[in-house]
Amino acid sequence: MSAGRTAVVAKARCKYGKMLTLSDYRQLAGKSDVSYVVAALKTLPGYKKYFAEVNDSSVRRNLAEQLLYKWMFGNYIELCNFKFRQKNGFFRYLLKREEIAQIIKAIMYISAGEYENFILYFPMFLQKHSEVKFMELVKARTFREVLDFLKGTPYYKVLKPLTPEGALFPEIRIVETVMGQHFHEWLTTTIKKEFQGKEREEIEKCVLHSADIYNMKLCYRLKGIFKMTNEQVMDNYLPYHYRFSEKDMKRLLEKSDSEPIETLIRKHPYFKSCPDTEGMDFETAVSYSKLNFFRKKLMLSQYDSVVLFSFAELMEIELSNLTTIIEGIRYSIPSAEIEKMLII
Amino acid sequence: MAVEKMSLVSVSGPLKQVNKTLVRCCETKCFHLEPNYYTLTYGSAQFKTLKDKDIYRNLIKRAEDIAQGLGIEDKTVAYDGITMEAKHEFDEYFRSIEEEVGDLISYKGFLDESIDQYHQALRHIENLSNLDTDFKDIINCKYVKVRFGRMPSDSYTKLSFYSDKDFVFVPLDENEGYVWGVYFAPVSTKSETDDIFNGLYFERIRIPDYVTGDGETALADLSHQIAELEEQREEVLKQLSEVKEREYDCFLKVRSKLRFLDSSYEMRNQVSVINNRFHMAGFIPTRKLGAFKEALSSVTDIEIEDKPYFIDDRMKPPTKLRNNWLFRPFEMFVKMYGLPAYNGIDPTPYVAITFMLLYGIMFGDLGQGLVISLLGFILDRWKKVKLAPIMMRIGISSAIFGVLYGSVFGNEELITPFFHSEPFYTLMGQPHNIFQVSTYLLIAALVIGVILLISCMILNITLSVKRQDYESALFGANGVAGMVFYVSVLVAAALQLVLGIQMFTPLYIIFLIVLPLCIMFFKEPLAHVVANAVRGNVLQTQKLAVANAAIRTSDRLDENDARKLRKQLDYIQSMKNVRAVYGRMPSEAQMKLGYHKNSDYAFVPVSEKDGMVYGVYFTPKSEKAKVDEIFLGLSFERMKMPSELTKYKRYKASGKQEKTVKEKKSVGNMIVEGFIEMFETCLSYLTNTMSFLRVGGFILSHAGMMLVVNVLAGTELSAGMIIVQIIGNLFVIGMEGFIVGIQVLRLEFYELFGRFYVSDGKEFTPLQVNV
Repeated sequence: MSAGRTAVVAKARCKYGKMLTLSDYRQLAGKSDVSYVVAALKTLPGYKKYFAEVNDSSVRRNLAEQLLYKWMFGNYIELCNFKFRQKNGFFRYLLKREEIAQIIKAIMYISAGEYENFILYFPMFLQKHSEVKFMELVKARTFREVLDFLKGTPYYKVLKPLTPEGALFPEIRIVETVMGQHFHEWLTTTIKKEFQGKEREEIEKCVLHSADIYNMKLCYRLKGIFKMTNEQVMDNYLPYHYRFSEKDMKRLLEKSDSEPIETLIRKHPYFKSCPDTEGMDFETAVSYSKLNFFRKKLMLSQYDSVVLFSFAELMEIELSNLTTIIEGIRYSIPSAEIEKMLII
Repeated sequence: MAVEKMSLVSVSGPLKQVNKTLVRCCETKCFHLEPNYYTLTYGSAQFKTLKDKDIYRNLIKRAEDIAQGLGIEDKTVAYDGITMEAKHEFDEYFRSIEEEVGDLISYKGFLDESIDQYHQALRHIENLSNLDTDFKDIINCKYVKVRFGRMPSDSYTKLSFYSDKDFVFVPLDENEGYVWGVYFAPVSTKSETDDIFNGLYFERIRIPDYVTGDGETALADLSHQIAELEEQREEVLKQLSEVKEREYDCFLKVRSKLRFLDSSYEMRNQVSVINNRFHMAGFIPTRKLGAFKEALSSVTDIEIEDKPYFIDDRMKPPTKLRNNWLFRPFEMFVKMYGLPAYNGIDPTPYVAITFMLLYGIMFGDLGQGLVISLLGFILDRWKKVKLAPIMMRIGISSAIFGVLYGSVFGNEELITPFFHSEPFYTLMGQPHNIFQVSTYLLIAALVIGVILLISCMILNITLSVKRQDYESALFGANGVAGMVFYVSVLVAAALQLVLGIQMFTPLYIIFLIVLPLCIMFFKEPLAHVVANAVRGNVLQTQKLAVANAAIRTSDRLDENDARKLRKQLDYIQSMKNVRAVYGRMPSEAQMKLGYHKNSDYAFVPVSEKDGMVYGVYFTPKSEKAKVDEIFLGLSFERMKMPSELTKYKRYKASGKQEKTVKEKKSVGNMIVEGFIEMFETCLSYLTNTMSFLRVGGFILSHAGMMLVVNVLAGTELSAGMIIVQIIGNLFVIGMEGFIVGIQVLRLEFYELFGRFYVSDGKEFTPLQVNV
């Protein structure tokens, strides 16, 4: 095992040890104002660095959330630094994913004429790590202009076929699907190129698990909430599977015509380890499934790629927990209720 | 030395008394609430849970503000003597403080904020110290608005997007992720520019109006101003400290009580509510029932009803261990392994005795034992470490065995060891030191192991019979068959080795070794035979019980009805998966049963008392939901089945068992598995017995380690010798004492507990608040 690999594994587990515990969450959820949460975060070892200079008496929710975002990427990049020779490969995956998310957001904001809002919420630190010039991109006013700005990046080829005939912009759902497929294609190709043997097998499982979760959410949202037809749902799914195959998905969608889709999805083995809490919403249940899966991977895997991937997923869950706390406090929800919504 | 006896208590009353009741329940620290009791009994559609906003949140915020203003630390204390409970009482108390010092606190807040801002402004102006323009000239621009402040570096990068807007931002300094600067905008676009900067998290810093002159002069002015503000702040603090001194104790108590009430208020969601009345049920140690009722007597209009714990079989009583002072600390180990069921056996005394005994034997040293005890006492007295009381006890045990071994801090010459006294001295061949009796020690260790293992087997047989687990009691490796095999082999081997008596005769081998092995091998089919016999017995008893019940009610039924009822019962009995529910319902409700005569059930009234009919209704499992709903609608209250009728329940259990038997594996599988299990069992008898050799091994290891310490220390009295002795002893206590503790715990959990103990209990967790 190379020194870089060992360092990533050790450092990631060490960082995981600094992540928030139940008592930390309780302490934070018990605060009466967002500023108190920020003040408390300043004292926690994992967050000190990112919140030290913030004036907690005047901090706003948006800024707090942006800093949390920065915390997640900061930690990830710190770990990637150990893999200096592979900066453009698999270890860029989180940045690539965020880059795609921001392009989708940019198209959405531009099509709605809300250019300034995109700028306000854009995580500027991402620009340093991205080949897409977002500050230029947002100057576009039509989809063709967006494509012009994306020339020279892999996204140009992906988005070009979507150029609409009459309308200025394609449907955002289609953009999302195409970009999601591109991301997974890139990820699987990169994995095949960079890893071999058991490591490849293990990291593929992680990636495909995420794809399964994405497809399950898709079924729940499109079919359960937006009442789309089975064909429409199948048009948008990711063609990557681990334990939720295309066949399973089709069968589930067919069955869902007579039974609620949420009940059907929850019967999947992914949800076996979910606590049997009454009223737990679907998204929380999905996060629990992720938490259990990636926690095991982080603890037991000996491959840096798997550990890093799992660590990123766990950080995302923590980020979502903190956002829940901040939102809960804003809406004066009792701490016990907030605690129930956390994924711990 | 057992499991604490419990009573099922239900408390109900008007909704307005729910908070007070919860507070009292928390204060008693003996009420284990069962939040699902009522919803399980009557369904969630009947009972609602309370989900309302936290009413104490504002009061707590006010208390926090006052505490911050007066400089009172965040501490929770006992709130004895504080009688206030209602919201308005707290409101009045806080208002009285706010009226007295509210203005001062606000002023202090203002001063703090100003000083903070001025300091920040000072920091800002330090970055402008090279500026040779008068601040007044900049700030007083008539057509241009000026804002000093800072923004995150990320936001600063975004400014390029607004290059077409009418403003200028002048960066003055950049440090720690922030860019400090000033922006200028025409008055006409002031609002738009402010909005942009607001969105970019620009934090404005106000430059005091009187700051004039260039950078250097402004710095001096600002420093002077800060000094003046701090002087004023000191004055305010002096005035506040008088109030703080007076109110300190009272305020801490009031705030603690308020936090307690707030936390207990959050428990409201565990209470069931119907028709503006709250209901809650839970378990209480029976001996504390009186005290509990006494504590709740101060709450008016509430009703407390206590019932035996078994009245409702859906509620599993929690387990609270109760032991005397000597054994109590060892409850920690039992809890670590898992609590016993409420009706199970508490193994704490067994653990305590064997743990102390084994530890003492393995780490016997008078001096070191007393040190461990002393350390335990110190840790218990000052640090409240959970392990400390155990250390005190095992330390004393170690000291006692130290006296037997004649070992004081490794010195074996101060006390005469037991092997130097007659008759041991002669019997053991006149040994000089403990190493010369090592064979005897190892044999003694094996004997201890054998005794402990046999005692565990006896315990397992007793408990299995109690649980009606005949497979484990009669045919298991720790049952009668296993014990006969183990004891026979040991006795025969021991007699042959020690006294030369030939015990392994063909008859002995066939009846006491091969037969038990065969029984263990065929334990599954044998258990099945026994289960069938028991089940047949149960069926007979059940038929009798049903017939009796029907006959008892026959005086109220005419011949035709009685015949119909018997027919119905026979039909239900013939079904594989029938369900019997015992309970009571109002007599009038029983009359209404006629409306549901087409449903698939039979109701057998057993007795009638105080206008209530007690009885059992039978229903096929497939009709369960429908029939339950009918009886729920008739106010049927489920109850624990009286012992004479529990056979109905067994019927259900045996039905289930029958199903399991049908799913059994093939004969081939059974033989292969049986063979592997047999092999493992025989091996485990050997390994588990040999495992106790470590008991003797550690006695020798301890003597060996102390010998090394003594050799290193030398025999001449000197400072060096004393230091080596102290360090050596501390090392041995720390390392060996710790290892022996772990080894004993391993013996307890692995060799002993696994043979008889079933941990399926639920912990007794009294209702209490964490403040």
